[in-house]
Amino acid sequence: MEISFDKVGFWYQPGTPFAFQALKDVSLTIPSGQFTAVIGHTGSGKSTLIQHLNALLKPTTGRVLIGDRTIDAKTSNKHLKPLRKTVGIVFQFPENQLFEETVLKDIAFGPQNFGVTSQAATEMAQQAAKQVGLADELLTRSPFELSGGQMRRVAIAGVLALRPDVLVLDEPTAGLDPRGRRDVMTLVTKLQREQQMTIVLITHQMDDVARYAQNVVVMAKGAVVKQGTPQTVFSDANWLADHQLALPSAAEFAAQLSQHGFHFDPLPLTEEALVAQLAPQLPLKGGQHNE
Amino acid sequence: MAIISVSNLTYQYAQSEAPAVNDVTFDVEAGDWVAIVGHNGSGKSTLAKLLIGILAADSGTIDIAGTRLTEASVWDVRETIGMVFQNPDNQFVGATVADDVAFGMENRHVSRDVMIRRVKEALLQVGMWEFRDREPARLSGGQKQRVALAGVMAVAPKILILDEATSMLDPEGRSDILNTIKTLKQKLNLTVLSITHDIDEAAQADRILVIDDGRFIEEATPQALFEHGSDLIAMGLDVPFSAKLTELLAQRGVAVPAHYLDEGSLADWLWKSRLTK
Ligand SMILES: Nc1ncnc2c1ncn2[C@@H]1O[C@H](COP(=O)(O)OP(=O)(O)OP(=O)(O)O)[C@@H](O)[C@H]1O
Ligand SMILES: Nc1ncnc2c1ncn2[C@@H]1O[C@H](COP(=O)(O)OP(=O)(O)OP(=O)(O)O)[C@@H](O)[C@H]1O
Ligand SMILES: [Mg+2]
Ligand SMILES: [Mg+2]
Repeated sequence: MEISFDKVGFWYQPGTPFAFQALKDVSLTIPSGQFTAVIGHTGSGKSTLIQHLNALLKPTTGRVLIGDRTIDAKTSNKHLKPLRKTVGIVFQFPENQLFEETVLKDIAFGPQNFGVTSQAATEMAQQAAKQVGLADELLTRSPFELSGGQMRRVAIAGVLALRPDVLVLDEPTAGLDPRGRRDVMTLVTKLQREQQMTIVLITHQMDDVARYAQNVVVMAKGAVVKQGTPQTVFSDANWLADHQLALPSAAEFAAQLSQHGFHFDPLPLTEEALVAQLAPQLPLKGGQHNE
Repeated sequence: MAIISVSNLTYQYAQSEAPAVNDVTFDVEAGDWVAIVGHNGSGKSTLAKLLIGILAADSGTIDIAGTRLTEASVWDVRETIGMVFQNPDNQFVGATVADDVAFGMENRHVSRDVMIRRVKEALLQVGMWEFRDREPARLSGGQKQRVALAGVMAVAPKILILDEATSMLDPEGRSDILNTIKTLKQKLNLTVLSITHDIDEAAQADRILVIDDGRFIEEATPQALFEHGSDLIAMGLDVPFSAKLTELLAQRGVAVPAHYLDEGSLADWLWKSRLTK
């Protein structure tokens, strides 16, 4: 399902002395069935942006088109519920998303809330728990008696169990161990490729952006300052430096090697791409020569 | 003398089948930076909570700056430790960012003038001075983490415990903050215990302790630990970029060095070997 922003402005606490404009004239399209990454500094408006994807926040000015629905400042809060199933959001602080008595009930809450029978919801929850690597013995625990990384897995599973059309993840891998991080990224890519799920990922991990995303949205001070494929966004080294944005590790390293006689074209964004261009420029084992 | 001395520490949550911290023994010297790493649920946060006396051990002892941690000494001991929790929302008490940063000093006999100066210094150090009148709850994720860090930096405790305190910062923000802490550490001879999954943060440490299902399974310098290559994943750390690259080059038949090289050394090695081609 396609979602687009049309000149969206958003103010927190409008009309008070604390009014703060967190989004400025944002126009963009999240293409259906694709993997979009949203990047930008602390406080640039990423979390504010994605809460517009299912009308948790409504634009103060402009409008958001979610499939065939239009959301603007005047949209009533009634009839928004179906959107919460179509667009599932995993929030930045997962603890704030948990509330049930047991982990399993917490994960099953979503589907049940949308009319799935209790038995089917439990099955969906068990499957989702497995997908995020939650051990069976944790399912009967209270979600508040878990480690930080385990809580995050529960929050992700709760949204996966909804089987949304659009899956939005706000820094889902912060606090996950590297195996968990890789599992979540692999799972999300698989959902996108095999089930054409639309994925929106907020992340500070440029390596993940380079490896998994098809589109990148760059935010700065509430505005969208660049959009494009990872290759276009990361190829403009001067622009990135001006905006104090990091390159993926492979691109950074390639740039460093380029100053010492190595040559790369196009700029490699992943380790594999880097090595594919680097190996032919090096001597092989046992004095063999390349080429 | 060790500023933290832990011996045979064990703790089990009431409802669980196995101890979350299991017979753990270690020392940390004053002025050291020690990283604690381990997979999710391995017991890192539990250990941190034991060290500041939020949880009381089932058995074993903790000595902080020469004082045995007991029910009677817990408040004194806490004065020497500043901790940043995994979720900053659990930490905020002040109505404004500035109040919140000041709060930690209020019980520590700091004069008002000094307090005002330190709040400003700390907020400037983390880039949050302009947010001083805002409500902590109304900040972005990374801003909350910065304020939480400012809160402990203002106190300048002898020991700083950071439980994934930089997990939501952007890469530049994270390295700025880590550099600030490093400078503070040198200036004040701070002892830093940082719990992290981030390889760059772990690389800053003098020593890394690896915890697995409540037990310490390894202790090493970052350089020595990174020799483990892909086994690091099981320890809850990622494989360093240079190690990934070295392995991929080896797969393509390049005669790479057998030892772990950090990025700088790998770049040097690559330039030299290119010249021999
Ligand atoms: N509830 C709120 N009330 C007022 N201002 C807010 C609120 N939430 C966020 N803000 C402000 O809006 C701006 C954008 O915040 P947002 O949470 O969207 O940033 P972000 O890009 O997600 O940052 P991070 O990477 O740190 O999570 C920030 O300056 C923040 O202080
Ligand atoms: N309040 C609690 N009650 C019962 N068990 C708990 C509680 N908090 C944590 N645990 C369990 O204790 C173990 C250790 O948890 P801890 O929070 O110390 O892990 P951690 O190493 O900090 O993990 P993470 O990297 O995910 O933050 C886990 O198996 C967890 O499920
Ligand atoms: Mg955010
Ligand atoms: Mg933890």
